[in-house]
This record gives sequence, structure tokens and C-alpha cells, in this order.
Amino acid sequence: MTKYAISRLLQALLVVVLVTLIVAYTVRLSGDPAVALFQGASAPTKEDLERIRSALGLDRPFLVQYLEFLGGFFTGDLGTSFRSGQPVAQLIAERLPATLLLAVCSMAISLLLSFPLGVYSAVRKGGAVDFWIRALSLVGLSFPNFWLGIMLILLFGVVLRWLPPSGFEGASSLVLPSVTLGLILTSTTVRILRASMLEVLRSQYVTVARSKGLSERVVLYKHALRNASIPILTFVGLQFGGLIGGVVIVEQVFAWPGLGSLALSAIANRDYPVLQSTVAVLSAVVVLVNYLIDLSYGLIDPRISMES
Amino acid sequence: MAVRPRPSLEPAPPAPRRGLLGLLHQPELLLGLALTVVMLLSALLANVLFPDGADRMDLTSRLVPPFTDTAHIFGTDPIGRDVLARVVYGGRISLIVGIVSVVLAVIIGVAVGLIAGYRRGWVDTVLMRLVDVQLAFPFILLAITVIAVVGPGLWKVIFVMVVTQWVQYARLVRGQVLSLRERDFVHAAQALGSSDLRVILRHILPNLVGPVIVLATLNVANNILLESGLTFLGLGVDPLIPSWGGMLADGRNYLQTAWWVAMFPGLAITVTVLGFNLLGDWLRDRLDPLGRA
Repeated sequence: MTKYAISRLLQALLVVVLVTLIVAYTVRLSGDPAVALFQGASAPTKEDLERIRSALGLDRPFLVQYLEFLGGFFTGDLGTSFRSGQPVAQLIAERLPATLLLAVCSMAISLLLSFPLGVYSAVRKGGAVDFWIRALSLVGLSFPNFWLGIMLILLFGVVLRWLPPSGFEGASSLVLPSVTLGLILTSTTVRILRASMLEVLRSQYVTVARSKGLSERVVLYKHALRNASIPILTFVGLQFGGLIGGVVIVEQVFAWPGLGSLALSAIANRDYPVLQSTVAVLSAVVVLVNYLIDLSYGLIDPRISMES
Repeated sequence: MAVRPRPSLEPAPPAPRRGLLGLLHQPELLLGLALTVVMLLSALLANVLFPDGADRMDLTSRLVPPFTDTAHIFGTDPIGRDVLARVVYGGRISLIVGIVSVVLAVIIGVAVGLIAGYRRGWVDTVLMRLVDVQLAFPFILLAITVIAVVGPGLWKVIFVMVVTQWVQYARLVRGQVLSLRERDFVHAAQALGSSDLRVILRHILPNLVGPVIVLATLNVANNILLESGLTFLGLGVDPLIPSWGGMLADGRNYLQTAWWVAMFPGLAITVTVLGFNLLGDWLRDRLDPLGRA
């Protein structure tokens, strides 16, 4: 188990290194931040730009800049924002909790809805409820998340005035953005859950469990659901990447003060340190979640050996 | 290709009827086809349907609510542009991005996947590492980073999609080729002296078409969503060109006074994406019963 955990951790770290390399390289291809940062009445002279570049450390070779960034990434020193001069680590630390809160609440909503709906849909396959669950999940899958967000704002924020339409003013502000993302997530998760439950319900051990005379409840929850959970967990991990992408868009819709809006404003300002660190931190979160899910397989299904 | 049937006590589903009559018995396919065909036709015929274009402003009829004026069925926006005309023209952008990006990604991905699976070697090693990175990298973040560099624009959005998505097809094809190359009919062709190219094109490629088409159809749906999302954030298509994402970003500002400006482009996205998803689901049941795509 330990050996497996360590080797998977090394793989995960390699992916983080590759991702940060791509981000740091790509970000540096975008125009010259010295031009964007120059503040003066006339056009900047060559000397002005040189001065700004050397002050920001942009005159050094890419590899040096990258290694410094990578070292800083693992020690928590992410440099300072070109624009505001604040430490990037501090900016991210202020924004990360809001993004994670939104992601976790959406995931929780989606799992709470998907499990009962998916299991019911699979057990009563072909029935009227199954038909509606399948139809609605396909429609939900086709919804743009930002449009759903806008329509929820229109209904609950503008027309009914039950909930704050945007911003971050306590728990009630959390409802609309997390329901938006949660509903979109639910539509994909329900489909996977249903398919994976159907697969398991056809298997021989379920037939055996039933013919032993076990109650349907025990068969469903102890035998079927547990085995159906493995593909769902893998899928939840894969979905987490998409969820983070969705968070970036939905944060914009609801003026949610998270990392997504930080990244978008960093683009506008050509603020390399903020942009590359934000993207790197979000990707690292995705890699970490998938790593933890990988490790949890052994706990759910003892047949999965962690040694190989 | 031989697919071992799963032992099952359930009765076999009735054989689907052929021809137009059979279509009536498959509501998913019928609805999927209807939605996609209507959307494709209206985008193709946009200048026939609305010869004035999508940008004609009529300042005397601003903010007309929908379904009140036969000249503006979906109403007008704050500067008097017809919402229906803009939705129809906007469909061109979404469909171009969705279809072109997928076609290009399929071409690159299938080619690389064939080489990686058939020849193995360094192409295969590099491909598998790229797959790891791609799985860990949320698309929107990569798109944000790349668009920050190259700036927004229709072809740049397509470029980002192709660069990030060809890996999916390469991975799918590689896995299929790995098992196909050990099959008897491939060994037989090789023993008869067929060149590698002939074996790949005549014997392996035709067996891959199903899963690739399924993945491609579902990705058209997905890319239409992605494009509208990027354009909504101001990172996609030029805001001056009518597009669904752009109209939504715009309409968000008038939610209090003119809900229809944001309602109809969103509805158009949902309907189009639903059409492709229905087709993709139907194709998956038909062409890819093992759900490999």
C-alpha cells in the first residue's frame, strides 16, 4: 500500500511539474508585460522597458524563471503580483477557500441527488420515473452552466427576490452558484451511476445474493451499490477537472470572489505571476483529488491490490 | 467484428425496423435528427431567412417583448436588433466551431493513435504522458492560458480545442489498435504480404470508425458548450460578431428589463447540444455497444 501510494504520488508530482511547465511557458509567449505596466505620458523608450523587465526578473533565461517558480510553488513563495505588488501566495490564499467551498458544495449537491436518482432509475429500469430521470439528465447535460446560472438569478434573485443574485454575502449567496453547478454535475453523474448499477445488477454475485434469500435492501446496498461505486469514483475524479472549469465560468456569473475571477483579471493585466500560479494551483487541486481517489479504491474494494 | 454476447436472461430487444417507418419507433433518434437538422439548416440559410443580416438596428422598436410583434417574434434587444435574426446567425459560429474543431482533432488523433498503437515506440510513450497531462488539466484553464497569449478569435478557439482534444481520439484509437493488431485477420493480411499501410487502412481503420464517430458526435455537443462559455467570458469569438455566448454575456446586463435577450440564445445552445447528445447516445447504442468511446 505504502509503495503504491508513493509511486502514484511521484506520478502525480510529475504531472504537476509538466502542467506548470506548459503554463509558465505559454504565459510567457503572451505580449510583453513591461508594455502593459509602463505608466507614462509618452510611449515607453527601450530603456524604460529594459528597466521594468529587469526589475521584474523577466530578462533572465526562461529555465531560470521556471525553476524559481517551481521551487516557489512547492515552498509557498509564488512571487509578487506585477500589478498590485502583493504576494501572489496571499492573493491565492484569500481566494482559494471561496473556490473550494463552491466546488465542494456543488459536488455534495450532485452526489446527494445522483445516488438516490441513479439507483432508483436502475432498479426500476424502463418505468416512467426512469424515463423522466433519463430525459431530464440528458437535457441537463445540454445546458450551458452559465445560462442556467443566469436563469436562476432571473427567477430567484430578480423576480422572486428570495436569494441574493450575486456576490458573497454569507450562506444565502452560496445557494444559487452551487445549485447551478450541482444540477449540471448531477445530470452526468446520474447517467454513469445508472449504467454502472445496471451492469452490477446483471452480475452473478447479485443473482447469488438474491437466491440466498437476502433481502432486496441488503442486495442493493451491500452487494450492488458498493461494487458500482468504483466506476463512479473514477468518474467523480475525472469530473472534478470539469467542475473546476465550470467554477471559473460560474464565478464570473455570480461575481464570486474565487480563483477563477482572479485568473481572468490576471489575463487582462498580463500579470504572469498571478495567472501562472492560479492555473497551477487549480490544476494541482485536480491532480490531488484524483490521487486521493486512486488511493481510496483499495478501501472500497479489497480485491484491488495496491502492490502491482 | 465479433462481440461476445453477454449471457443474459432478458429477452433480446426486437430487431429495429428499417426505413422511414423504423425512424418513428426510435424517438431519441427522431428528436436528435430533427433538432440538429433544423439548427444546421437555419444556420446555412441564415442570409435567406434574414437578408438584412443580424446587425440591423431599428431604434424605433427597441426592447420589444417576444411574441408581441410578428416582425420580431423573439423580441428586440436594447438597440433594436432582432433577437431571432441574431440567434440564427449566431448558430453559424457555434456550429462552425463545434464541427470544424472535432473534424481536425479526429484527423490528428486518429493518425497519431494508429501509429502509436501499431508501431508502439516513442510515439506511444509520449502519447501516454500527454494523456496523463490532458486528464489533469481542466480545459477552461488551458484555454484561458492560451487565449491570454494568442488573444480571442474564432480560429484561435478552434485551435485550442484541437490542441487539447486530439489526445482523446489518439488514446481511444491506440487502445483499439493494440487489440486489433493481434487479431487473426490482421495476422492473415500481414502473412499475405500486405504492406503496413494497407493493413492499417484496409483492416484496422474500418474497425475503429464506430467508437470514433460516437466520441466525435458527443464532442461536437461539448465544444458548442465550451465555445459559448469562452465567448461568454470574453475569451472566445469577437464580441462584435453575433454568437450565442456573446449574446448571453450581453443579455445578462438587461436581466431586470429584458429577460428575452438572454433567454433565447441560451435556449438555442441547449436545443442544439441536446440534438447532438441524442444522436451521440443513439450512435453509441448502435456502433459502440461496449461503450469504449
